[in-house]
Amino acid sequence: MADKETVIGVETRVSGEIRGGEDLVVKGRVDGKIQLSHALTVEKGAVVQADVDVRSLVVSGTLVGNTVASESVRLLASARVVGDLASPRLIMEAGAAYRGRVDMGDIEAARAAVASRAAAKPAVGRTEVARESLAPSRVPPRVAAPPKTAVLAAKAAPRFVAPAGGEKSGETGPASPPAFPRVAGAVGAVAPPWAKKKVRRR
Amino acid sequence: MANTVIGSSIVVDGEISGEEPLVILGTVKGKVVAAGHVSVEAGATVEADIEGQNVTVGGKLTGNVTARERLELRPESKMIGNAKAPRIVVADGATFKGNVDMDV
Amino acid sequence: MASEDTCYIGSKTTVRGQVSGKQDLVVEGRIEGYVGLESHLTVEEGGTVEADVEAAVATLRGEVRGPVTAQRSLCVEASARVAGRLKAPTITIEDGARFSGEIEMDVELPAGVTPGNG
Repeated sequence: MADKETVIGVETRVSGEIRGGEDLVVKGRVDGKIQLSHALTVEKGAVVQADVDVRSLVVSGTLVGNTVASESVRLLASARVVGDLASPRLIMEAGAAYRGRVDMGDIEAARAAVASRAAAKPAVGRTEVARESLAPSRVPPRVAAPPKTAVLAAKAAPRFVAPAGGEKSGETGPASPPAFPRVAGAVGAVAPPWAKKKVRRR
Repeated sequence: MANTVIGSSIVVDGEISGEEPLVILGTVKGKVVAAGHVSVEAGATVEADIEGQNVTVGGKLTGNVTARERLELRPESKMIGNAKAPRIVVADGATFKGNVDMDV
Repeated sequence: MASEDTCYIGSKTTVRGQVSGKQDLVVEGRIEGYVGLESHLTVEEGGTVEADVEAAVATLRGEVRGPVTAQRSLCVEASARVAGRLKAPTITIEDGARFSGEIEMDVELPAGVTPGNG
């Protein structure tokens, strides 16, 4: 263990919360929440279905969930990502597939929004663990169907998620990635602070 | 070489399930279900039931262990919980409190 | 880009209204309104487009506000300042680019992963 790095292997699945102060490489699957003061790498073939709060994020696999990265987000060509991204730097390679809302401005506001949303919903991982530990323990298949509790909760959840840092209603259910309200003439509606000051004529 | 490593400054709160070797250097709370070898290294803190082929404990473990082959408690280890395995090794210096069940 | 079949909006020119065509369009000045092209739109550094934009290919290096839909591909280069909704089969965002808004692409998720229960 010379290099300080945590690895979730290809054949491993974690349901619940991972937090800590070192780099994490996911090659398998993580469902729940990831909070690191370091970097998260979601490798090709890996699946992360979680709210993510990290310093930097590199994705070549699949990520579903809302992300706050205080430094940077890099979506490589094979990345498949659904969910909101808040980071001062975003790099997206050709071939990456992404759907969601991007905020390169107020990271702290986005982080608070993700945190309050996470607090409002039941702790996904813990519920699952409690349920599953009652059942005879078996090694589940690698890409198992999500536990019933999660599915039901998802169905009950509202389809829309308020934009990070934007207007908030009392969110309860698990965060679902944003649906896209078709805002006709969205010009200026999402204009960030830097855009406002440059309206002067040339 | 372990395929899954939970580093010393990492906390996992939930369930880890896998079909490959697992090394825990940090903190795991919840449950561990592994098809292979599970190693709770010195310095690690685990508050979870562990199921694995071989389970080696060098750190602190609170929880029940079911090892299909062998459970080993190393000299500096501290375990509170029930142990179930066909073969159990408790090293000199290990601390253990719980029931032992070798009838698998 | 310097084909004679390319239309330029110079840096001291502002167009308000609707711009549509089959020629490639390079914007060094300013467009407000609507841009609908069956070709390549380039917004150069210093250029500003505040419009609903549709093009086959879009290369953004300047300031763009408005929904941008590209039939084939869309590239937000390092100097770009973009706000709005981006939609294209392939989208590239270079390091250094500023973007705020939504990105809409088809994302094929592996089996067992649904966007609903993250």
